Amino acid sequence: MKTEQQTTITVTVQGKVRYLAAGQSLSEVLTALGLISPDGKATGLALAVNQEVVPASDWPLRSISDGDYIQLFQAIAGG
Amino acid sequence: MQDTDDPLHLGNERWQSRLLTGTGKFGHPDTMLAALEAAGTELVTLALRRVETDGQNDNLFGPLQQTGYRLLPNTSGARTAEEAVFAAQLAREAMGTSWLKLEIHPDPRYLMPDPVETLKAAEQLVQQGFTVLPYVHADPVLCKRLEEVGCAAVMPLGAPIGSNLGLETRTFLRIIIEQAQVPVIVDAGIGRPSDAMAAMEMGADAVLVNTAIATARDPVVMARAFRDAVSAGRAAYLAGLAAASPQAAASSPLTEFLGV
Repeated sequence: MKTEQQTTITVTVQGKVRYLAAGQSLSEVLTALGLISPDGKATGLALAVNQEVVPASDWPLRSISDGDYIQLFQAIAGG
Repeated sequence: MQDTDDPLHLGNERWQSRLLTGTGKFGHPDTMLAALEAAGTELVTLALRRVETDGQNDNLFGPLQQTGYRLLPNTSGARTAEEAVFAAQLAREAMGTSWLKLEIHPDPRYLMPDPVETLKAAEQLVQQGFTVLPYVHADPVLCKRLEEVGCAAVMPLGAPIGSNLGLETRTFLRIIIEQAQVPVIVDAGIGRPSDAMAAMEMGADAVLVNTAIATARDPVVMARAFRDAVSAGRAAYLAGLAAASPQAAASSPLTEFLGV
């Protein structure tokens, strides 16, 4: 299991390819990249992994997988 | 509040205001909040975009939610039904509402809504439990089709988005209003309070205004002007407009006291 945790995987976050340690949760990745605040609050945000919406309650629970395509969206002004 | 005895029935709910307001193009968030209050609006539109990694992310969602406005996310940016359905699901997650302004406009120059993709997306989204308010061209046939698939309202345009040209589609808006069994919300192109009033006099159930308020020299005062115009137009519609005639019809008795 230790070797698996040290494995580097390739994911795409906000259109950029990243090489990240396997085993991290979506919350950990998004926090490390400065996309969400460390307190975990996710108001006005929505996350999709591989074009499927992942509810905020699952962000700390779901680990990233090799090849994941991660997109974080937020509410903004609009007509 | 306005029209307290004449609520708008939309999406199985009752609304006191018939002026929906967009949140785009305001110079400052505080100005936007003040304008929304002056407009007396209850339902405000928001958009969705990918979070930028440069940290320049505005946060309007919090203040709007705290102020108690009901949010109406749009699917702006979607070019196909598939993209709109994805955007809708994201919006529901981000904003905690299944209400949706469905808009699909692949052409960036005129932002004309795509009728085929809009109908396709509306059908799917209604089945997924969304309260769908589709933005469409002023096409009476399309509006009936959208009603038939279960949309909560139709939102025909008066003129291209942000153009401030007014009710260029007036003839077709009349047909849509006459035929609709769901609320008709005139959206896009309304440039002046008199445009909003004209739409309401015609029998529109509500209007959605953004650019005309947000880009006015004084957005707060303009918002109030729109509120008053919508209220006056609605009252005029309910009162029943007097018939127009190409000939004069004397308002005073034409007696013979002048000896003629």
